[in-house]
Amino acid sequence: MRSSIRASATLDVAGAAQGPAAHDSYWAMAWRRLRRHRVAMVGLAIIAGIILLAIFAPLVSPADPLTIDYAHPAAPPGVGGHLLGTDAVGRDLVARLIYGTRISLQVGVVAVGIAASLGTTVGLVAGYRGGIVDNLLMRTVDVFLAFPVIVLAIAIIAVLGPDLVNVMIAIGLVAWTTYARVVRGQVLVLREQDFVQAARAAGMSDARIIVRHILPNAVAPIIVLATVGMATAIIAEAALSFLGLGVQPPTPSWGGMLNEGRGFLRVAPHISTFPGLAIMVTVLGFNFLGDGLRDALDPRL
Amino acid sequence: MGRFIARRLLAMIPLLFGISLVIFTVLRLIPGDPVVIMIGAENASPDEVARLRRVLGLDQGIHIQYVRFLGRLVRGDLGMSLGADEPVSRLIRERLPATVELTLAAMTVALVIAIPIGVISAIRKYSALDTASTVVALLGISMPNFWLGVMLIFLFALRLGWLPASGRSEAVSAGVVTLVTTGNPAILITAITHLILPAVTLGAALAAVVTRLTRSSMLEVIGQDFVRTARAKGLPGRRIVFHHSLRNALIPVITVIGLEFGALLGGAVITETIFAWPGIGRLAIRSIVQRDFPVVQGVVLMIAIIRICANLTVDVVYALIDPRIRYA
Repeated sequence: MRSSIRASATLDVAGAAQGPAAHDSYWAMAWRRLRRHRVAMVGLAIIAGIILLAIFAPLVSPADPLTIDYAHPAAPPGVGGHLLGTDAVGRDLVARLIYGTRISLQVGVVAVGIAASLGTTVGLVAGYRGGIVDNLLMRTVDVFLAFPVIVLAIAIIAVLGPDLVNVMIAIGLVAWTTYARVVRGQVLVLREQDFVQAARAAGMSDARIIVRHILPNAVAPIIVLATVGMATAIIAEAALSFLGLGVQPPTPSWGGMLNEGRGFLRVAPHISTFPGLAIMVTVLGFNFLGDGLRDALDPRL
Repeated sequence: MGRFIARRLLAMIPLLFGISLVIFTVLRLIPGDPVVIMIGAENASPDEVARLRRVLGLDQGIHIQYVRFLGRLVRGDLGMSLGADEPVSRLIRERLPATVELTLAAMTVALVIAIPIGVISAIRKYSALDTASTVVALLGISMPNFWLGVMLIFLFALRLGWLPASGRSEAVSAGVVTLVTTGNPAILITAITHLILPAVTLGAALAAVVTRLTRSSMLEVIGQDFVRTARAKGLPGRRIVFHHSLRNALIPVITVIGLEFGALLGGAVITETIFAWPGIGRLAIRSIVQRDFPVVQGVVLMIAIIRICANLTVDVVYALIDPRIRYA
């Protein structure tokens, strides 16, 4: 599953690594279509920028995100050498926003990884096996779908306790159902196709058929779902941290920063404003790219 | 139709069974002894703990506990709150109307804004209004609603002072009753001013989704043969838009509204926290912080049930507005 997430960032590399020439041209064509998609390219640029900020945070950050400037608490933008000002205790907002990218991306990647691998596995097994296994698994999906995402995530956090790792687990455990449904739908179609029948007739094991023949053909919708899923996961993390159920202070998480600023809204509205903008831009980036990938990879979705 | 509803209600039973099983299991996974949490570690003498375990039935096997839990559940007994020493069902009943009011208000705000804009965007495709609505909708989909809520409080409550920053006065329905019986609009006006900011916060994302969907759905319908026929035989434009196109275009919109209703309930948890709105969402968050698990369990169960009922309602409404859909 990990490989497909990587593939969404560098489609051309993944395409080249896929092997047969026929496959190559599919990914190459998809990449060409994606490059013509202006909105998707804007999204890709935003995401690339945020990834770079996360990687090079210590180099580009103007200050340490935890160091307190006692002379300038709640300073408005520009005061005391702080470009976007400081938070209520005097920590540089630019630094905290930059380090916050690490939390958001980390949660996004791990939560989507959990959701995609769990959901894909369930979808593959349900679709390929059919019958009672399919029925049982899909009814389980129905049960999970009855809970609103954030409510179930909150319930899981209530059990596990609020911290970074548990937030990733909670979001992953909530988001897997979409993958299961979509992958199952794909498998139902693929299962009946001639090349799968041929593989079966040739005596290939079920596990090998699933991994070698079915999964590669179901990868396109998974990539699209994972991209949009990053946006959902980042918002979910911010929401949990905003409620105090996510990443705990003083670690800079955008949702947590937004929450910390609430008490100072009257005197220092910038503390809450900038983290919200950061979340919005990032989420917009993933939604843009997701839209483009949908058009480029799988017009049916 | 009656048979269809009956069958759908029957199908809810295994689903509810599954939901109760998930919630029950999650609750048993909590680290630490619930009895110790309940009476506090300092009061937890071994005798007292053992006695409470017997009283609560926690000394029984897990399968027996589940059956008992189910038995109480079908009688509407959700257990006692650990902190408030009140039945969970009463806590929920007291707060549910506030959540329902907020959710319905949010949905109204969303639809009143989104459907007209979506229709106009489709009719005047690529106009300035269409482009503007596309951009605003994309921002709306990507905007975290808690941030919008905080910004609205800053602008309309703190800066402009037009609306209250938080809390709920009376129910809007109570305000309407007073207005009708005594002719005094004061209570209704206060109730609505308290409701506006939370409703906009909660409804914004839905408005964005519905605008996009109405637009694309309308565009699809407008391109179809029967609309061209209607135009060809000289029907007035307004009649084509409302009678022929919109009616058909709203079908997918209604599906999405039903699906989004659950998301709206989830969003209400956050919105209620921001605006100190006394609904079940705030109750859930408070109970989690206080580790009052029977309440968490009750609220989550309640929300899941409401969501299933919403889905069922959507299916029925579906059949009512579109006679082509038959449920045999």
